[in-house]
Order: sequence, then structure tokens, then C-alpha cells
Amino acid sequence: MRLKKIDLSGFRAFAATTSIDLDADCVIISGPNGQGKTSLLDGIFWALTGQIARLGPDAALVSLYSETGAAAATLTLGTEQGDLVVSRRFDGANTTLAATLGSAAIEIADLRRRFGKIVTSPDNENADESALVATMARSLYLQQDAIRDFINADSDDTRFRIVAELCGLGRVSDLQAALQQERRNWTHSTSQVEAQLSAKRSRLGELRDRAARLPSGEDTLDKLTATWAGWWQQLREVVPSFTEPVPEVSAVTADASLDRAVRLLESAKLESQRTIDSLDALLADLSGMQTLKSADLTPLRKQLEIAESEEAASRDAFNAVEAANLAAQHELLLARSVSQDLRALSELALRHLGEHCPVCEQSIDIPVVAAKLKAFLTQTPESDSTIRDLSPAISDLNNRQQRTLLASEALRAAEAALSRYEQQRLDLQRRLQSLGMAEDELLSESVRSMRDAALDRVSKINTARLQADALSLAKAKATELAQRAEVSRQLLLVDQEAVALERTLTGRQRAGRIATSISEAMREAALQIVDTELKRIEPLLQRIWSGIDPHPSLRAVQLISRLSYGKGRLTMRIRDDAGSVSTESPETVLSSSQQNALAVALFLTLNIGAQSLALPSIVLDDPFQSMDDINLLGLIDLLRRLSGRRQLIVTTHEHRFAQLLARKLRPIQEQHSTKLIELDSWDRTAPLVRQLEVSPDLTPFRFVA
Amino acid sequence: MQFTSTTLMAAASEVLTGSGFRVVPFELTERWGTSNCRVFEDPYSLVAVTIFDTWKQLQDRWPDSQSSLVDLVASKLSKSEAKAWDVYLAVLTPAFADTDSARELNAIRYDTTRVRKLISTGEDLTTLDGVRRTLLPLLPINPIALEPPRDIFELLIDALESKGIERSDVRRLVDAFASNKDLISSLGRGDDEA
Repeated sequence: MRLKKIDLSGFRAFAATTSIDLDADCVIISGPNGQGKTSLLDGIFWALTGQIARLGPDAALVSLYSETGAAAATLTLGTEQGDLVVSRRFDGANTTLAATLGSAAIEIADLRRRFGKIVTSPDNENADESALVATMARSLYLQQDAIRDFINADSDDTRFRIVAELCGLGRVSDLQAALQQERRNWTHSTSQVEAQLSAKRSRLGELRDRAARLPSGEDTLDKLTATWAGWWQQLREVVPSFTEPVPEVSAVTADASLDRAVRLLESAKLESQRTIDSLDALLADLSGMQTLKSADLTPLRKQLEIAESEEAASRDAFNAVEAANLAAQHELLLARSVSQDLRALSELALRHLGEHCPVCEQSIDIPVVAAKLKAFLTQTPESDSTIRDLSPAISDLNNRQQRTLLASEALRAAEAALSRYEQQRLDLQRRLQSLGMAEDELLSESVRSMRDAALDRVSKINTARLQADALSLAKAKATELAQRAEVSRQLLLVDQEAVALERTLTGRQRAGRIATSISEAMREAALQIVDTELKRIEPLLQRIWSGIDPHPSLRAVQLISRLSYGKGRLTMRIRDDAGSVSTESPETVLSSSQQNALAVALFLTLNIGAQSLALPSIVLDDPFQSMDDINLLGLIDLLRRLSGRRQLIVTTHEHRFAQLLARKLRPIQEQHSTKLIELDSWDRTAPLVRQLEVSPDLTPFRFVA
Repeated sequence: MQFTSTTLMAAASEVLTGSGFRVVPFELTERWGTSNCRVFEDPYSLVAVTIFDTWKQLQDRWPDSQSSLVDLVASKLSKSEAKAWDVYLAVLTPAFADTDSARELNAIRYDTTRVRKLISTGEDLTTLDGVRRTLLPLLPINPIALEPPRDIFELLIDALESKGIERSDVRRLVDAFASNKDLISSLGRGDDEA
């Protein structure tokens, strides 16, 4: 694969659409400063990665003179499967990426699967893609302004990540991430298996407990069949109302049916006992009723009439006496009242007695009148001798009343007894009716007979009840034996399942442990791999560094990796040939140009030595700055030796360097080519581009035959 | 160890011919001022290796060697030809330079007029590898410096094995990953296979 063409539009120095042919083994781009050399290389890198970190967001890449306000870069790469065209465009707001292979569109993911990670995905914000961009910036495109970033600006862990990515550890990281994800799911699934096994073991325990509680023996339900059938027959005889079909002894409903039958028996027994009680009571009543005959109430009524009549006469007598007494009392009261008035008048008259009457004015004989008045005062009160004593009458009346009451009570008692008798008779008739018996002279015998029959039935019921208990127990034992057999079968099955689960769990746990070990060891393994790869490419680094030859004594370079705080870290050590002095801070002992030389050496080493670099190109933006002649010549000689391995694209602002490069990198085989691109006369739209083909030297050996 | 001029020339010849250079016929260098001189050519460049027995000889006579080389180039190439500018003079001596000769050494090294000089004295030539290092700018990178990379997963298997993890387990894991199959399940298959 190699770069064939770049079309830029609105991109940095290329406001106008410009197409530049890159289809050569070596491409030398020269031009004074500000003509677009870096813009051209940036365009290549942006088409591939979508990022130019030193310039910031895509908006900064749009040419100030872009007529559309958009920037676009279309890079054509030659592959064995045809031309791969990658187009990236920023319209001022969004950036889009599209690709075609041949004439057909190709998805970016598919492109990466087929050609490797030569293009970042459109979602280039995630850490993996950013790491890829950084890696490509350190190994594919050496930017003029970032030439020493790997030495100075990048941290130890960033350097490690870049080298790790170039070593192909990205794939290992993918494996690690996939393993980590699977571990989480695996652990969850294993826990489920553990739970299943625990449930199985618990079930085993339950079954064993259950088996221990179940009896052992040989009784089976078959042996109960005859007894079972006989009992139900007996039931029908004792409880004729039972008409249900007889269940099989082995039926699921057999126990329930037996239980219902027992309740039926109990109910029948209760009924029989109630009948017996009724008959006993009947017999008692019958004997009681014989002594209680119907009574004649007429004499008692007569007695009551007489008592009432006598009472009435006594009352009349009493009332007459009482009335006489009342009249007498009234007369007495009147007399006493007159007497009282006269005394009062006498007192007054005596007090006011004079010679004349104050009323009629007649003359008064005072002594005579006074004597008469005094006679009123001393007059004795009237007596109540005419009032008679009521006590005899009252006593007589009370006696009469008492007699009446007794006669009434006697009558009521007799009436009550009669009523009871009548009620008992009615009750007897009703009970007899309920028992289906007629009231006749043999009633007592019938009742006794019935009672005996009921007693007999109760006895039979009791017998059947006891038999039912035995039958139920025998059946339960037989059922338990059958259950035991089933439990044993289930035990075997569950045990087998538990064993299988144990095996599965053991396997899963082992696999999980191995996965954990691998996962935990991967970080150190990554370090070891990087170490191995660094050792592999160290001779190359040494070769390149020596080829440039920038320092008279510090000619050995090492890349040292280590694990620190869980992160891989990479430092550089330069040392004296003799190995006596060394430093891991090259910036402190190397000059600026020497550091540039080291940076270029590292860049070329990573590019050539990397496993994972998918695009076999070296893009160098003016790497010769501040190099002395020897370093510069050494670098150019190196580039010449690399041109067979990589497509080389290099810029320089010095025309003479460009000429030197053209000579040094001239094609010496017919199928090789070197192009010289000169940029100048930039006029706000784009530079003027002149493209020259460097003449090949097809007669390489001039002194040797 | 101090080598003889003959040994140094032989070493240089081996290095260059082993890197694609061919020896220019001796008759083309017969008239050079020194007998210990040989010219080599590859498709890109021309290099003359001149061995002087002493530092003094080197100091005095390297310009003559340069002139002879320039004449040789001019005899076959015009100035417009690129190869005419791709010429190297490797100047070696097994002798140690004088202690105050560092400046002169650098002056020779950094004199890029006419031809580029590659210079080494006894201090740099204590081993035969010193000859190779002197001629380094002329040598290809392939096949010396770089072993081909091994598959990253093979490296991973080796690395994890060194951490005590069974090689077969990692192999199964890697194969499952490559085949897009379940990873941890593949580890469990080891028991089944056993």
C-alpha cells in the first residue's frame, strides 16, 4: 500500500482545490516557508486520522480564504485490491468520513479489518482512537513543531502506550478487554451454577430427611384391596344413604373418600344416639303421663265462685259499716266545729261584754250572760261514740279474700296441669309421628324395640369406625412405602444432577481462575512484550542513531520499560560507548539539534520496527532543521537505506537540501520513482505546484563491470 | 587490540562487499599515493577505503587520497551526474591519534567539500566492529539491525508462560479470540480434553 494522491480544498494553505501526485517511492516537497508544505502533510494526516493535535479542532483547519467555509481532504492510496480513497470533510459544524475501494463504498470498520488501522474511526473521541492518533503521530508523521514531543513532551506512560501500540499490544488490549468483560459475565453465570448446586444439595438434604422419616417394608397397596372393598360394603350396610362409588385403594382421592366416609359414620352415629336419647325420653314421658290424667276442674271452679261470693258479701258489709262511720264522723266534725266557734265567740263576747249588745243594742244582764258564755267555754267536746270499729269487718274481708285467692290458685294449678298434660300429649303424638309410630297400647314395647335397634346400629358404627382407623393407617403406611420408593428414585436423580453440576462448577471455577491469572498477569506480560520488542528494535535504534552520528561519545541509546504504580513507563537512556556514563534525561546533555537527531532516530525506529503500523510510509516535515552537515548527511544516507522499505515523503525549506535529497534518493531501478514537488507563489488560494520526476540512474555501476 | 592495516582493509572489504558493494578494479587505483587503498562501488555511491599505518601519515596524506578519488570520479562521471556527488573517503589508521588531535580529526570529519570523509583511528578500531561502525553511513539497514517481528500473541504466550501460566491455556485463549469464540469457555475445554 502507498499514498498516491492528495486532493485538498479549503484546507489550511490550500483554499482552492489542489491535487498533488504522491505516487512515488520518494516524494520530496520543497518550498520556502509559508508555501504550504506543512499544510500538505497535515492534509494527508488529517485525511487518515481526523486530528491535528497541535492545531486543535477541525474549525482551525479551514482556510481563512475558503469560499465555502469547509475543508476537505481526499487521500488516494494504492492497494493490491485497487485504489482506496479516503475522504474527510468538515463543513463548519460536522466532520464526515467516507471511503471507497475501487468504485464501491466501504465501511470504515470493514476498511480497518482489511487494511489495518490506517484510518481512525469517525468517532475519534474515545481513548483507543486518541491513542491510535498519538501513535501514528509518533511513528508515521513527524511534524516539524512536534519533532521532540516523544522525548520531551510525552510522559513516560504515554511513551509506553505509544510503543505498546506499535508493538501490536492494541490487539492484546482488545483480548484483555474481552477477557475482562467475559470474566464479569462468567462470574455471574458461575454464581448461578453455584446457586443451582446449592439448591440441589439442599434438595438432596430434604430428600434424605424425608427418606429417613419414611418407613421401610414390603406392604403395598395391593394387599389392602380386599379389606378396602369389604369395609365399604360394611359402610353401605350401616349407612344405607351412602350411594357414592367406591374409590380404588390406590386412587389419589381414596384418603379423602375414606375421611368423608368416617365423617358419615360419625354423623350416622350421632343421629342414632339422638334417636336413642329421644326414645329414652319418650319412654320416660310415657311412664310419667300414665300418672297424669285429665282432671275435672268443675269443683274448683265452684269453690272459687263461693269464695268470691263470700268475699263480695264481706266487702259489702265492710263498706256499709265504713259508710256509717263516715257519716258519724262527719256529724261529729260539724258539732265540734260549731262548738269551737261558740267558744271563740264566747271568748270574744266575754272580752267585750258590755251592757248592751253591740248588734241589737239590747241591754245585757252581764252576769247571766257571762255565766252562759263561760258555760260554752267549759262545755265538754262531743264524743264519737256512734263510730263503730271496722276491725272485725276488715278481718272478715281479709279472710274472704284469702279464701278467694287460694281457690283461684288451686284452679290455676289445676288448669296448668291440664295444659301440660295436653301439651305432652301433643308432643308425644308429634314424636311418635316423627318416629313413625302409632300411639297404641304397645307403644312402650315399640319404643324399646326401636331403641334396641338404634343401639345395635351404634355398635356397628363403632366397629366400622375402628376398622376405618386401621384401614387408613394401613393405607398411609403403604402410601409412605410407595413414597419412599419415589423419594429414593428422586434422590438418585438429584444426586446425579448434583454431581454433574459439581463437575460443571469445578470446570467453570478452574477456567475462571485461569482467566483471572491470565488477566492479572497481562499487565506485566504487556511490559515483558514491550521489553522484548524494545530489545528487538534496539539494534535498529542503535543503527539509526549511529548512522546520524550526532554525538561524539554518547552513541548508545536504550529504551527502558518498567512497571510503576500499575502503569507501563518508557524512558530513554543514552550512554557513553564505554558504558561508563549514562543518563535517562537526554535533554540535559544533548544540544537542541542533537535532541532533534535523537527524536528522528526514535521516529524512524518506531516506524520501521513497529509490528502494527499498517501504512508503510514515512512522512517527515523538515527533519533537517538545526542539523549540522554530518548529521544531515547521515540522516539522508539513512533515508536512502530505508526507501526500499517505506514510501518516503519529506519536506525541506531549503532548495539545496531538496536538490541533495533528489540526488541521494534518486531511483536506481526502473520500477522505482522519485518525485520532486516544489511549492511557491502562494496567493491566498493555494501555492503554485510544480511536480518533477527525478531522473532515474539506470546504470548504477559505472566503475565496476 | 591493535590491528594491522592489512587486517583493517580486509575487514572493510568484507563489510562493504557483504553490503552490496563491488570492488573497483585495482588498476584504477594503482597511481594513488598509497598501496593500502581500495575503491568500492554500489548503485548509489562510490567509496574509497584508505588505510594509513600511522596517524602522521594520515594527517599528511589524506588530501592526496581525496584528490585521487576525485580524479577517479571525474574520469567516469560528469558533474551533472548524481553519483558524482555521492562519494565517500574512508580514512583509517590502526594507530592512536595524538592527544591533541581531536580538533584535526573533527575538522577532517566535518570537511564535506569534494567528498565526505569517514575517519577512524586506533581508539575507534580496537575491535573489528569498529570498521563496520566507521562505514555505517554506507551500509544498509537490512539485514543487520532488525529481526523480523514475531506474532504479538506468540509473544504474549511466552510472556504469560514466564509468569507461570500454562502455555496450552493461553494458546486456547488466543485461538478462541482469533476465532471470535467464547474465551473462558475455551479455557474450560482443557479439562474435557484431558
